[in-house]
Amino acid sequence: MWTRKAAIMLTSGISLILVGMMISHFQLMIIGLTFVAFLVINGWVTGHSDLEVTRNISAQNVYKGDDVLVEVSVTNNSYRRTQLLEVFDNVPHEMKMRRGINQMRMNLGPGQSATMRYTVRCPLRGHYTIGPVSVRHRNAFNLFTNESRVKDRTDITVFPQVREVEEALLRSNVPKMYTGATTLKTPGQGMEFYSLREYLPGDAFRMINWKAFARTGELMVNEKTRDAVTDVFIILDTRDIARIGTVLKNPLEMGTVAAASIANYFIRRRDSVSIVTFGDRMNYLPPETGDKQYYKTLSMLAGVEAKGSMPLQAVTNAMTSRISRGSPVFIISSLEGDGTTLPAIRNLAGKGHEVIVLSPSSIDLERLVSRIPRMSYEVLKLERQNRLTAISGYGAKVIDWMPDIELSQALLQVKTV
Amino acid sequence: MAMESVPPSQTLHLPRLRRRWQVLFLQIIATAALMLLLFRMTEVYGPCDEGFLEEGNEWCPSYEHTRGLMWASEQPSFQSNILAGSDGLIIPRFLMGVDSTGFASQMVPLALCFVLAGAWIFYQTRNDNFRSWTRRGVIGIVTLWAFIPFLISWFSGISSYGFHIPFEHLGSLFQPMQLLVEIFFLGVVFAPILAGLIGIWGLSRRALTWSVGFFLMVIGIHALLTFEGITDAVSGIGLRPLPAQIGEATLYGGLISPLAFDLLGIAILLLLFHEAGNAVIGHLEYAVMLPDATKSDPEYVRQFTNVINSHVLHTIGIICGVALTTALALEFDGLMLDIVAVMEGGQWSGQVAESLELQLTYGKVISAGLFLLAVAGMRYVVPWQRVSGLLEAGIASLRGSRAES
Repeated sequence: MWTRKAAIMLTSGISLILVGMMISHFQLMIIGLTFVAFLVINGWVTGHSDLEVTRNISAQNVYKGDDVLVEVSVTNNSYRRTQLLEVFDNVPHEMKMRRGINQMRMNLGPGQSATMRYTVRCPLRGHYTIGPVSVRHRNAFNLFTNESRVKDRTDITVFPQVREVEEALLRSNVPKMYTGATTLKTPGQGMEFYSLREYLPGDAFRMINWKAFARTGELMVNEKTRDAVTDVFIILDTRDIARIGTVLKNPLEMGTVAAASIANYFIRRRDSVSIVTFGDRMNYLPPETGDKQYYKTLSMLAGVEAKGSMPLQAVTNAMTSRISRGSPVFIISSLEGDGTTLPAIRNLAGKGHEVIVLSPSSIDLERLVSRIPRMSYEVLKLERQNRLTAISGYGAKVIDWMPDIELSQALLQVKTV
Repeated sequence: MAMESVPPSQTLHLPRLRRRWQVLFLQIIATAALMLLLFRMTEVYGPCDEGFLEEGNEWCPSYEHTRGLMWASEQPSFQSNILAGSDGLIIPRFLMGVDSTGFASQMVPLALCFVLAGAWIFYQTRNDNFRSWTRRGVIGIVTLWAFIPFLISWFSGISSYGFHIPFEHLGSLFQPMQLLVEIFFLGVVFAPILAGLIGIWGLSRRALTWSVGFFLMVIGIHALLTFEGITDAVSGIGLRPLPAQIGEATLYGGLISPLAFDLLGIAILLLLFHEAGNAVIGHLEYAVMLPDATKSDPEYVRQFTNVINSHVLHTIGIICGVALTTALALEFDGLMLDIVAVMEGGQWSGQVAESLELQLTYGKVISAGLFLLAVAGMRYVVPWQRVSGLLEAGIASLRGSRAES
């Protein structure tokens, strides 16, 4: 492809030749011929693009705010020199360059290679792709260029940050049954004592309570409670209204951090965690435990976007049958723009679930980006307070999460009626 | 991971880059091309028509500064300038080379151009405060130079003749204009040199382009003023036109004629000056754009060296190639005639050779154009890059095996 300089040079050359011919002036003609000859000779020297490009990154899954080291190697596999080569590795604009630069000018001989290294920081969660690599062969005098792309892409998943919330959950008013494998207050195979009963044929001898036998003269056995892992349900609001605030601070970002942190806490304690996100549609991750479930949870949270306006009650109605009786339910939502929150939470609480509502304050988040008149702000705050009070009136634990409060601090603020 | 670094003297920081031999080489090449361009231009476009001078005229609008300055020094209004010497010039004659001819008349003004270019570059690198005070100083000096003689002359007139409105003293307000006139005559020849030096050493693309444009403008004006239609209509311009025919190829084994050699030299020097100057700016711009840590990265330093070495080789090789190709293109009509003579016999080709049409620009242009077309097409036939690449790979592997042994 001809550059603007080459086009100007050709046009000038031809013009000078023609004008020189018209007025019989050899100098103009010779200058014009020289310009054209310059283009002709430069046309002989072209680069070749038998390039091999490989990219290595330090990690494909990182947490928000982590750095990723990228190495791109370019090798000239042809028998010809590449001439001037500009290599540019396309990096998503959300990522910030921390060290190095994602482009290089090089001139590779046959068989030679060059490596460029740079470090990017991922300030936003999500699924990203680094690449493709754009390659431009440029003539030494900037007369001809040839651009191509090497389709080498690398996917990176940026998980939301995970905060340490163990101490906060232990110290807060959240019920203490969430301490690892949870007993379900029914007799069965377990570790904790439930009751004494009479010996029945078939009971194991080791279950016999010999002290009770010595006291009563009748064979009695220890009955244990049934140990079972609790299913913890986390319902995350990803409706469009969750984008209120800045890019880094909005109900969705705060919610993903909270969901990831709570999920991390319970999975580490070998509980089953289930995540439900609702926005334009409902996404449900069935309850499981272990590292695989943790990874799936983080991947799901990395990809959520604020869109849609699904009501909470639609979610709770759909999920009621899947939520185990007595399972705790964490609802992370700003509770704005949805008139079904109260009946939804009332239904959940009525079915015996422990409901904890973690609500980022969208009013204070909106203040970060726009000016709200003081009177309007006070009215909106009052409305929100009333809503939260009504929710806690149904037995739910409510946390009014302000933007400048850390998650662990917010979890200590559980309020009940 | 700690990044490796090169020694401080080899990093891509601008002060160190400017001392690299490749950068200095390109800048010196550009400067030398600019100087040679000046000398060649004054040789070809400096002289006036002999007949014009014999008629008693002293000045013609040629690419030469001494005649204009001599004319200015003889003007009565210039004689009365308080700063003018006995010869009527404000700037000393030896600084302008007025009493010399040829190369001797250009030496001192050239040296002045270097000094002024250095001063301009120094000025550009100072802070805003310094620059604003310098501007104020210059404006103040010019204003004082205009007003003080005016006031002195008016007040002395008042003391002699009584109070009067100083209409007759207004001429002294225009005394700084004489300096401008002298600078104008100098500038006709040396302005592109000064701009070129600022462009090369001050790293200004605009100055480089301006300089090239100025040279082309001089050539264009010369072409227009020597055009037959113009000279017939407007007599007495006095410029010496270029010969109507390009002449026989007698230089370098019949490669090029003396006139074509001079003219081609100007074209090649223009190209060399412009490309070498711009190359330095382009490479330094890239280096400046890099983050600080990357400037010490061995990989970036190595590739920058590769790129700039390649550019130096390209500059030399391609400019030589262009010169040779253009010289051959200009003589291609002669080659075609020789071929025709061999094939068709001497009589026909002799008649054609005698035809003025083929000796003038039309024939030259058409045959040169055909030649360049053929050269452009040969790129697809001659696999020279593959050959050179194989050679390079072979040399690299020999070096590698020698290093191992």
